[in-house]
Formats: sequence, structure tokens, C-alpha cells
Amino acid sequence: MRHVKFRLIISILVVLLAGCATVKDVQRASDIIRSDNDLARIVQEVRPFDKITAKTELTQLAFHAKREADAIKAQKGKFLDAIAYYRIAATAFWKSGNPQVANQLFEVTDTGSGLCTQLGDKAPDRDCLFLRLVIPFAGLEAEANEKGLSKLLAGVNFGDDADTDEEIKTMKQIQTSLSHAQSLVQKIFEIEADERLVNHPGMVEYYCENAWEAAGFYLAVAAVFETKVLEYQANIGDDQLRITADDAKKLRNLVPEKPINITCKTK
Amino acid sequence: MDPQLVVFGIKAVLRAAQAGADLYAEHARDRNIFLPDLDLPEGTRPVQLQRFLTDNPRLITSVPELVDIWDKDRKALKINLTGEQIDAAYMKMLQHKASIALKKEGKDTHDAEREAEMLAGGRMVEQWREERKPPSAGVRMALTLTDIGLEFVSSNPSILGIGSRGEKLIGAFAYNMTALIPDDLAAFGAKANFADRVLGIFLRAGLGTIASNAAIVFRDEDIAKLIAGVTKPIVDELPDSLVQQIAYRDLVDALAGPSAEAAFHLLAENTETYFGKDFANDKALGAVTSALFKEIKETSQGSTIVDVFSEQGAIRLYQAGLGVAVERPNLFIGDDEKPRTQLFQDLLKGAAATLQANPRFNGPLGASLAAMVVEAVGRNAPALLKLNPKESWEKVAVTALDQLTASLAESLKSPEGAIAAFSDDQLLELGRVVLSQVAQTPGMLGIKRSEVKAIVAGMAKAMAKDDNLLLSSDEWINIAGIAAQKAAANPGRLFGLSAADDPGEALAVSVITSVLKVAGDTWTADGRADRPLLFGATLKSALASVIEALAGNVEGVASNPQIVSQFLQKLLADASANPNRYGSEGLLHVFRTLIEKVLASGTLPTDDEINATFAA
Repeated sequence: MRHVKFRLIISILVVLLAGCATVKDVQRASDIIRSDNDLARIVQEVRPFDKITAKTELTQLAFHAKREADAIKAQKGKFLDAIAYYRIAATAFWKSGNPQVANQLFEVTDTGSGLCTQLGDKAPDRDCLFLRLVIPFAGLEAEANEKGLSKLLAGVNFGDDADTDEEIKTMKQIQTSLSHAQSLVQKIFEIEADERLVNHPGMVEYYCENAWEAAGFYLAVAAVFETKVLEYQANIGDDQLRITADDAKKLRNLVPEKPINITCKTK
Repeated sequence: MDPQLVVFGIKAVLRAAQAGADLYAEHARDRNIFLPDLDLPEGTRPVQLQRFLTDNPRLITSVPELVDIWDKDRKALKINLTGEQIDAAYMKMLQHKASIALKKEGKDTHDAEREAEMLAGGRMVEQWREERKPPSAGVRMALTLTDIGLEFVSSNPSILGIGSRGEKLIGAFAYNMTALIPDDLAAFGAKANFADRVLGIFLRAGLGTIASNAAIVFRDEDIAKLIAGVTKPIVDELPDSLVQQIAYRDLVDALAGPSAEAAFHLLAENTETYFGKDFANDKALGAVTSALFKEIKETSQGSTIVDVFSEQGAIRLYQAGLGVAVERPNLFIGDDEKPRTQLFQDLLKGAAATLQANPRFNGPLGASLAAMVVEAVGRNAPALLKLNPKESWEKVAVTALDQLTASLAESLKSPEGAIAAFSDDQLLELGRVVLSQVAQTPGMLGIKRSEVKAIVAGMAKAMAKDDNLLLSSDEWINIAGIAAQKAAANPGRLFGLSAADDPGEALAVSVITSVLKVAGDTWTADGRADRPLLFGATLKSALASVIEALAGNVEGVASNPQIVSQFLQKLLADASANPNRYGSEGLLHVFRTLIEKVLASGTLPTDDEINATFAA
């Protein structure tokens, strides 16, 4: 009889502990919803008007989500929650535009993607696809906004015979940036072949909008860059620039040329 | 009780709770969320022109300002364009962009919907691909049922199998669970997960019931009524606000399991009793269940009904309500065929207010008393309504409860004599025996009637006089039952009439008190006196005889209330003088035979009469 009682008490203690775990799960779910809502609010309502405040708030939110994710990333039963947190952290690090959190951005996308791989077929479609997209998106934005690709181009005028040396340096810098951006756009295009994307209408829409935007911006800048190279050759004609027309033309190549897979033809 | 079943029960509830938590977590992860768009700069005018013309090649052949700047071979801007050329082309580009925007005003429905999904700077995106979307609410519920069924079978392998009772029960749940899912799934909202959880709790209760009763087979129609009448109201009452939901979910965690058990218990009883007949009206069951789960959310005087009744007590009361709903469903259905939820809510409120006024009866004790009143009054409601159609039965029930608890509470304030030794269970039993007798005379129940109070208060007063505890609590309960029976059969007499020398005291109390005094006088401080015959079973029989006789002619005792004690003293004196002749049986025989005459005449019997009776 005592043995039975002992077993009963132990069993009840075990299930009560399980009850505590349930409460924790509910709290975590609420926190994920709250974090997602905060993220949307800051990006949509704060960031367009006040980038400094948005940067601070997004960085804080990103670190919170990262901490939560890190705390559960080793528990197999919590992988889905961890991935959701890593997706939130990655988005917030990206949109914070804070160059000092680049390492954390890579860390959260790598760790989140690793969990996606471990989950295999059970990995959440949207979150895992997004974790693949976020690094090239963030990289392209950084190249475009921080390095100011098109602004740099505006400062180059090979028809006025002025500041040519400086302009040559700028052209080199733009070439390097374009090369990076080209690689990032290519990475975005590679994701188009991901079979998870093919049958996900919402992600297809999101992906195509942004892939087109990335490619459109990149190709326009690359074409204007090529025009500048040709202007240099036509107006100055020496070999100081060390960027050939072919070099410039190659930067206008994307493989495929545009996001032309069937997924984006529906756009 | 099999400990394994206890553990299984807890586990199953937690599993259902965990299932709810899991589904909530799933909702948090899978709901549509905002994914921000790339935020790239517009670029300089040449960059913007390059991009615009790449996307709109037709304009390059038709707009001179644009033709002027475009290198068809390179598909790029010409080299060495002047600022004026760029500006002119840029103006044209802006015009065409505006034109394109205007044309988009006439976009088709598909485009409009598509654009509506888009937000400034991003898009709401769902988690899953079409073919991998999580199952619907119905499928999830079915999965939960299967899961619980499979777990149960590991502890009770016999209840599942081809054609077995468990399988039938799970099948009935699966078939009827659609009652929980509204046509408009969007309106179901957060209730989807909650319904899944509640359904799981009910299935566990059903499986538990059939596991403990080998003869029970539940019919599909009964399960349908149970889900519609008991499970659904619990789900429907889930509040909208998060804070209220937290409190409600906590209460449901505590109450849904016992409620389900109560409902199945009732179903099991009725399946046995009324086999082949309809179990119950789901509207009536729904009225009772809705009332309970509406009322647990309400606070009155700082307390909810659960605070007043306790969880266990609330379930007991709910069980009583369900019992009445099964037996007399029409009491809970209005003339318009709608469930009368407010009726049982009023009853719960009234009972809670009564018990709050008598804190001694807070908790399970008071709730059980209230439940007994509901059962007794509800069962007799048709007769009550016939006697006085203007008095609603729920108000009569609250009045009866008030009388019962107020009179008991009064005597328990500073308890003396036998009443001080009453346990909660015995107090409950005292209430039960009085109620069961009174209920047989529905005319004694009513908002303006006070018989219940008079009987309980009178008996409590009589018990308080039993300083030497000559009767046990159970014997007193027995006496109270007889008194209530006689009082019910003779309204206004036993506890209505008074003796001439004590106009404030009921005749029955005066007589019982005088008997107790004689019995006490033969009981010394150290215990039994020389030959005390009047205690225990003998005293109980004597009291029963005198109470029964009080239903007859009491003219004599009304004018001379001491006559009973004098009669007893005379018999005891005879017994003491003739120990070989008198035992307790002989004494009782004479007492029973002559008491009616003594009460009627108010005079003592002669020795000859006593001897003749003894010899007979």
C-alpha cells in the first residue's frame, strides 16, 4: 500500500511539474505574439519617421528574441518556438540598420537555419525560408543605403574634366559594392528554387516583390555604372580606371537574368 | 480507486491543457505575421530612369524625350547625356508613372484583394504552404480524442477493441463534436483550441465512467445531447478579453473535469434507470451548465460562487441542477422554447448570498445543503407551482435553504448539548432528513412558509438540552426525521402549537425537553445512576412515541405540559421499586400504550391502568 501511495505521489508531482511547463509554454507563445506585433509596429510606424528611435527599439527587441531563442534552442521540443524567435531577432537586427549587430544577425540566422535543418520536413515553411532570405536582404540594403551606391554614382562626371582621380577611386568603390550586391542578388535568386517556396502563395508574393525590387535596383545601378565606364573611355580614354567595358557589362549579368522561375511568373 | 486511474486522470487533464498550450503556441508561431520589404533607395535620376525604361520598354519608342536618352543596343542610358536631357526625360517618366497609377485605379478584384494584403513596407505572410497547413479545428479535436483514447487503452485494454464500448464512445464523440464548431470558423477564433481541450476532458470522463461500470453503454444520441447541453455551453462562455479568459480557463481547469464526471454519472444512472428512453433535453442541460459557467465569472460582495461554495461544492450544486434538468426539463425551458439560464443563475446567486450570510455554511457543507434543497424543491416543483403558480420554484428553494441554514447557524453560534457534537456530515444528514420529509408535503414549502425553519430550529433547541449526550447524533437525526414527518403530516401542530406555560416554545420542543430532563435526572454526574432505564435506544423510542402521539389529541398536554415528565417519573419509580418486573422493554411498552391518553387528558394513568397495560 505504501508503495502504491509513493508511486501515486511521485506521479502527481511529475504531472504537476508538467503543468508548470504548460504555463511556461503559454507565456512564451504570448511573448512571441507580442514580439511580432512590436516588430511590425516599429517597422511600420516608427522607422519611416524616426530611424534613430527605431534603431534603438529594434536592437532591444532583437536581443530579447535572441535571448529567448538561445535559452530553448537545445530543447528539441522547443525548436519551433526557437525558430520563431530567431526569425524575429533576424528581422529586427536587419531593420535596425545597426552595423554593430552584423555578427548577431549572422548568429541568429545560422542558428535558426541549423534548427530548420534538424527539423527536416517538419521545419516551419515561412520562418525557415525567411531565415535564408534575411542575410542577402540585409546585405543588399546595407550596400545600397550605407555605401550609397547610387549616390556615389551621382558624384561621378567624366565629362567635366574635374576631380578625375577621386572619381576613379569612387568608381572602384562602386565596382566592389556592385560585385557584393550582385552576389547577394544571386543568393536571393537561388532561393527561388527552394521547393518550400514553390507551393507557398504568401511567400511567393513576398519573395517575388522583393526579388524584383532587389534585381531592379541592382541592374539599374549596374547599367548606370556601365554607362559611366563607357563615358570614361569615351571622354578620357586612358587606362587609369582599370575597369573595362566588359568588366562593367559582366556586372549587369545575373544568372538567371531576372527572377524568372515559374514562381514569379504569376506576379 | 485504482491509483493508475487517478494518475491517468490527472495526466489526461494536463495533456488536454498541454494540448491547449501547444495549440496556442502553434497559433503564436503560425499566425500571419508582418515580413518587412527591402528598403532600397530610389536612386539618382539616371538610376530611376534606367529602371523605369527597363520595366516599360514600349515607352522608349513613343516618347521623344525618352527615345532621346536610350541606347537600344545596350539597353541602358546613352553616354554623356546633359542635365537638361535627363531632366526632360525625368519629367516624362513622372507623367507616365502618374498615368500608370491612374490606370491601376480600375484594377480588377483579384488585384484589389492582393493589394489589400500588402502593407506599407511589407506584407502579412502565413507560416505554411497549402499542402502543409495544420489540420482544421475538427481534425485537431479528432486527433485529441484519438490520442486520449489510445492512452486510456494502455491502462484499460478491455474498453477498446472492435465493437467495444470505449470505441463506441470515442466514435460518438467524434461524430458529435461538430456541435462545438460553428459554421463561421472565423468567429470561433480562440475558442477552437479551448473547445478541443474541453472535449478532451469530457472524453476522459466518459471513458472513466465506462471503465468503472462494466454494464454501461452510452448511446450516440445521449452523447450528442451531452456535448450540446454540457460541453458546448462551457466553450461558449469563454470570455473575449484576455484577462477574463485567464481567470475563466483557471476555473474551467478546476471545474470542467468534475462537471464532466457529474454529467456522465447522471447519464450512467439514467441509462440504467430509463434504458431506451431519452436521456435528457439538451436545452435544459444547457441552461444549467450555462448558468454555472456564467455565474463563476461573476463576483458578488467580493466573492465568486466558487469562493462561497468551494469547487467541490459548486460541482455538487451543479450536479443537483443537472439532476432536476434531467427529471423535469420543462422547469428550465421557457414558453418560448428557449433555455431559462437566468433561473439557475438566480438560484446560484441566491444560495451564495444565503451562505455568505451564514459563514458557518460556506464551502462544501453549505453547497451540499443547497444541492439537497434544489433536488427536493425541484423534484416537487410541479406540485408547488400548482399550489401557487406565482411563486417560482427557484425562489422557494432559496427560501428553504435560507430557513434551513439560518436556523442551524443560530443554534451553532454557541452550541450546547448534543448539537455541539454534530459533525458536518451529520448536520448535512439532519438537513436531508428534514427536507425529505417536508418535501412530501409541498404545501410546507413556500416563500411565506416557515415550517422548515420551525422544525429545524425546534429540533436544534431540543438537542441543545441533551447536556448528558443521552442520545448519539445519529439517534437525534432519527428523532428529527420522525418529528419532521409528523410535522409535515400535521402542519402547524408540533412546531406551531405552544404549551400553556411556555407560549414562546413549540409544544414538541417543550415535551421533548421535559422527557430529556427526566432522563437527565436519572443520570448522575459520574455516569449511570443505580438503574437508569431512560437513555440510548430506550430514550430514542420514548421520544419517538411521544412525538408520534403529539400528532393526535394534545389538549391535555397543552394545558399541562409537565404531564409527560410526571408520567415518565412515575414509570421510572415503579421500575426502580420492582426491578424484577420492569426492564426497558416493559417500560417502553407501557409508555407507548398510554402516552396518547396522557397527552389528551392531561392526567396520569392509575396504577391499575398501568398494571393492566403491563399484563396485556
